[in-house]
Amino acid sequence: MTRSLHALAYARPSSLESVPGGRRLGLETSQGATPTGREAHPRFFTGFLTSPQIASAALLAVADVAAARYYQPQLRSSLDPVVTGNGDRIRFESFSGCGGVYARLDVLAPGLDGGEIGHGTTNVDVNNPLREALSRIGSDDPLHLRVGPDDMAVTTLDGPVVEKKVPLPDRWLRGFAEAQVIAAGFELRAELPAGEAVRFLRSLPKGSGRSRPALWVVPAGRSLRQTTRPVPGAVCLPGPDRLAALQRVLRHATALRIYGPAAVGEAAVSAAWEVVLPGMRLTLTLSPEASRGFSGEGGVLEALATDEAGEDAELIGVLLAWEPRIEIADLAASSGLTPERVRAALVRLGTSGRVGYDTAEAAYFHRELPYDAARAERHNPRLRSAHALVQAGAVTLEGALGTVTAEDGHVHRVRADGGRLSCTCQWWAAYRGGRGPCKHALAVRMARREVTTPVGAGRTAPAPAVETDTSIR
Amino acid sequence: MTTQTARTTTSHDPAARTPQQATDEVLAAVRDGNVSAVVTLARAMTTGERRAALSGLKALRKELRTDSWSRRSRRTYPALHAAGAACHTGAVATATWLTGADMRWSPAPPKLLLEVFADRGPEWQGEVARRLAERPPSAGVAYELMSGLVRLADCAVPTTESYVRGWMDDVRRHWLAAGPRLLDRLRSDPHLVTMVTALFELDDIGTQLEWSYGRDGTEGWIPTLTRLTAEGALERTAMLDACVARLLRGGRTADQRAFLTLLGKLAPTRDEERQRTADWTALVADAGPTVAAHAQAVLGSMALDGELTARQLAEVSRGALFRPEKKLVRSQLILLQKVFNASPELLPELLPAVADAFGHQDTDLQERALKLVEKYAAKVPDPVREEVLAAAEQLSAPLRPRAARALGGAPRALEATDTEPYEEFLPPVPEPARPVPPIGSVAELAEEVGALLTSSGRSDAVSFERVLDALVRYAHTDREALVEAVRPVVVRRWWYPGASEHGRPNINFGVDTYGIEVVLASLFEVVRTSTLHTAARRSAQGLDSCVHAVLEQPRQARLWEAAYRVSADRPPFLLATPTWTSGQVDPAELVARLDAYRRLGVSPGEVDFAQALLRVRRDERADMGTTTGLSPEVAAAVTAATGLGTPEGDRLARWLTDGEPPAPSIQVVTDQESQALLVEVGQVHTLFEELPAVFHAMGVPLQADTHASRSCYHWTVEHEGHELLTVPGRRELVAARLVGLLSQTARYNASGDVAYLPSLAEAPGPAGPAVHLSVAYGIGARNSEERVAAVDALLVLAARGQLDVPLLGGLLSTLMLRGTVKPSRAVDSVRTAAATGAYRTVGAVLRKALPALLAGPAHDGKALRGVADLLAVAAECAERTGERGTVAHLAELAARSGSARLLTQARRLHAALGEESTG
Repeated sequence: MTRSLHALAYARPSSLESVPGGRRLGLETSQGATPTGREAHPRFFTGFLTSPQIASAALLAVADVAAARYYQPQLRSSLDPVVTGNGDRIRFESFSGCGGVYARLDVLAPGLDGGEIGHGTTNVDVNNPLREALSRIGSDDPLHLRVGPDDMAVTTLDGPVVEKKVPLPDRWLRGFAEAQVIAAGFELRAELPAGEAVRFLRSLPKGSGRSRPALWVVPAGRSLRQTTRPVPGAVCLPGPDRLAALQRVLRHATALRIYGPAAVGEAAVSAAWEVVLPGMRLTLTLSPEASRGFSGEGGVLEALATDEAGEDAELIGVLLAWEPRIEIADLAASSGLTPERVRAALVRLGTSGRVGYDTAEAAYFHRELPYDAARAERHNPRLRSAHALVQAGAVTLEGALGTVTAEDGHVHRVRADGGRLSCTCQWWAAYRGGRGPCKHALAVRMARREVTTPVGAGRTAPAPAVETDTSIR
Repeated sequence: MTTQTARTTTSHDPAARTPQQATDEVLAAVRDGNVSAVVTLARAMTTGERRAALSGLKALRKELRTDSWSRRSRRTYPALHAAGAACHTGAVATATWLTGADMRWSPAPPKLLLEVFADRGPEWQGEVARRLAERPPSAGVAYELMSGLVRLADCAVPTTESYVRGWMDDVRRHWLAAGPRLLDRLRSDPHLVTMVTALFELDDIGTQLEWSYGRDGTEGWIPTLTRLTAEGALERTAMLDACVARLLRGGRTADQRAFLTLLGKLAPTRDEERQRTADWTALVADAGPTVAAHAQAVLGSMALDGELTARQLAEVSRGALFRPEKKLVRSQLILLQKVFNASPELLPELLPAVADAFGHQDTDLQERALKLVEKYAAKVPDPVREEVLAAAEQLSAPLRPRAARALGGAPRALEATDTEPYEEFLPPVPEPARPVPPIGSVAELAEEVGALLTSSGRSDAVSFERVLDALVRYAHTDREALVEAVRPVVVRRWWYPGASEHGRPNINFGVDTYGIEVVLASLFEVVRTSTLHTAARRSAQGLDSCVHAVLEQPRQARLWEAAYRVSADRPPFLLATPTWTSGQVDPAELVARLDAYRRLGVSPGEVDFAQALLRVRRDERADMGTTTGLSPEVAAAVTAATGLGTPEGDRLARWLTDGEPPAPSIQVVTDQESQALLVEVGQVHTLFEELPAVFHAMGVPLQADTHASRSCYHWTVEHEGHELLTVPGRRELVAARLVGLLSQTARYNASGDVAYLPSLAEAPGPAGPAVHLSVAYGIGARNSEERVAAVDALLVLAARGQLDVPLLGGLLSTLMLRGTVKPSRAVDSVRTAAATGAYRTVGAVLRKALPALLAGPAHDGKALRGVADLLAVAAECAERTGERGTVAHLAELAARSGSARLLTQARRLHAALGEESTG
């Protein structure tokens, strides 16, 4: 497994201080991207939280997910949450060590009081004393929040004092990015009032469900009922124990919303569980199986196998400015691309960690993961294998059928059926397209494109915006 | 300086040898496995010589890797470990060598390594120590080595997980070796405070801390840490803070227990407790039940002493009353009552918090909270009453009017929910079954075959049939193309020529079909046609006699027949392939298939045709032996079948005209041997006698004692639904044979079998005792996920109007009284089913199940555990649906005085059902 070390540097540890008249929560930031370029310790907010106790519990839930592994829990992993200032809201994101749970807390405008909200993305320091202090926050303590260094600290900064080196496996990184793209295919499937939400979440089986089949839930009356099979309208709940982080905020919940893909077959799929809180939303997105991270889902590989979306993505990437919700029509107008191409470009940006997806808004938002996600994207194993197959000349095309001959002489046939590629390999047989195309299908797709439009290997320079403009008009 | 001293201690004369010689000497000592010689030699080497020796050592290391577990390698490794550590000069490189994965299992003794490192500078030693300590505990770095280096370097002690765990293990080892008492060992430890502080940061360390030793556990971490704190060696405030912080951080119950015990031993004073009020409050709301109970007790006594403000107590109460644990909620309500009595002035602030218990799942607790409100409502101002009233809609229906009375007026919100008519919510009736589209090309078929092989048979029965049919179809039209297309997915199967040395297809395929593989093997000509012919003929006779075999043998026989025929006369397709996902075949479709056979001059396969007859959809309303009264569809099929002029056509016409024969007698009986409930089936009409022998056993009466056969090798129910496809429309015959296996989920906690229940419930045909008994066993399954399958089945039966409520209720009570089904599991199932909106259905079933369960307690017997919960679910159903009725023995229980849950819930149900309560 490829991995690299990621270094985080904070000016000092995040902390909660008691001051006359309340408490001050100082979340320290590491190096991150802002509209004005990279900053060592960007600042996104100074002001008050309107529901201090609930915000603290929700922040802890995000931190819980960051520190958790819901599969093979003996292996440890912990990365600090990612914070994004989106102008009108602050988002805290984390991704579990097992690569199967994505958590995001959106603190919306009503949840914040005073202070302008900045733009940019970086990590925030979370440490044990901070976690304990956050647990202790009562309902009536006014809480001042600062994301980023305070004015005094900026002037007295003398090199970073908190350094963390964390292993950053490629598949973790890919999963973090790809969870967004998967969520982009979700729609609202059920909404429960608070009482029913509590009742339902408490009725879920406890303990790790590793060896157990996925659970399905289907709206029934005002509540949800569990079922063993994907009946029409059902939402998959793979590894229900992975919703544990929601318990922290359960008593403050005003509603529970569930999002999932529209078309559901026999196989387990992912889903997003959103707890609505006063002025906030906490969303957990679960991968289709506890033992299976988001990174292998391959929902975007077809888009990555070509370079055309890549160029559009570079153009769109330049136009983004930490919008809380990205309007595709606006982007299409300003880029001169068709909405379809903008959408494809956003998928591409999603896989390199440059946009996230908010299921509640049904829209992408801009944020730049403070990791080199593009590297992971380029190093996708399936994509790499496909490239290798093409380069080795393993692909032969005959009509709608492609034949891929592996090094050991093993033959796979790839068939095009209405734009969808299927294959005779064992991997495809096991997942039936549920985890994206296999390497053979990707290789055939690449080979086909080479036949029709010969494109040089590697990435071409971004197309100038002007040129694209004229071609459309 | 150190190299000089080292050199004088050896007998070698450095001037008299070359670096090469030094390398050779070291390598020879390493190969000998002589660690002490290596150490002596290495200490005598100059830095240059050490560097020169490295390449030889690295080469040796590579060599050992090829053969790392031989005795020679194991003997060599310790010496190699020491030599490499000595010859690397940089701290980083040394640490990397020391922690190499290949060195892990046979390292050099730490003592000798420390001798090697003794002459390095303190900075170097400290750096190596730090790097070693950073490795995870799984790397197995010796603590002695790390701590030795720390001692040599006199540097700051590392506080990594590896080091602290190593320290703890080391302390414990001393303890076991009858060394000084732990207390003395720790008192003299220079790093005590650092280590203990770091210890609190380790995950899952609690279970280690609990380790105790000596009589009455007086020796151990917890008592020792307590004593050290009392002596002042450890700072008391820091220890208390660390314990509480640890509890706040959460973790596994076993881990938390140790810190709770330690906290108890440290015995915080009231002042110390008061300083941590916010911590206890957070623990009450978020910690595990045990820790929360402790925190609740601490805060409780503070509250009674008036040391909490009303606002603090309200916050604690909200946290506690929201919890699902009954005990915590009850304690908090009791505490609040005491506080109300002592300080009524706190009521306005606290009474709204009581309403947080209104939403609790347990209605006894709801009532308890309500009683508190009733008692004190008059003493609070109107706005507070309104606040409480707003929460009252969470109360169960019969409590709401009481809340309204107590809090003044009958508010509209509460009335509205009462007057809304109840509507039962059941899942949609499954569609009558969708047609299955055939497979369109050999390429698509190849993928489907691949998927079937990858799923190792665990794909659903209809997909299996679809693939089987397509194989026969393409073998008929273009066998070469089929073989070429399928080849990529079968080249690695055991029977494929050259794929395995052990495959003997000719023998293996004579005794087993291996599912679809027998057909593939026939296509690839790896099995002789005569072998297949023999197997097909033999299997059509049906040999195995156990009750389950009859459900799968027809499929096996049909597979052999198909495998034989794709090599022999290549029929155009199979006759029995379902046209519906239910497994049924349309009569008109079957006539068309027979017509195609006739035109091609192909004779139908004996087993295939019989299976087709069993699957063809007959007219349920048909009068025996006449075409009058047949539906137009079937009547047309009869005419067309007769028109074919073939024996099979006539046979089909007769079969369709005969209509469905009267159902056999099916009844639930007690197996004398096991006392389990099983199903007996009487003689089934002559239906099966006209078919090949493999089907005959299906018509033979099924006795309780034939369920368990000595020759039976069936352990679980296959839930792909093949069994149901043998006799679609006659699921009682299938369920009757499988219920013995299914009962094991309730009786022996076996798992897996229940999964077929939803298919059983959705399958066509009447649902009688066998289906209902299956569902009843499923309701008592061990795993909650499996019970969900039974709930699915229950709801589907109810939605289809096929649920026999008295039958299921009676079966459930019998199973519970016999101890086969645990009431606690049944409670969970029926509660889940009811909560989906099926209160009427579940209520009806429970009213039929309860009388037998209440008979005992009504006559002063003991009630089964969990009956009170069943009463509670029944009461909730009655309250929601507003249905009235009587339940035998309920009135007696309801009239009895007492506050046991059985009695309170009996009274609740009694009241809800509208019988006048005598109490």
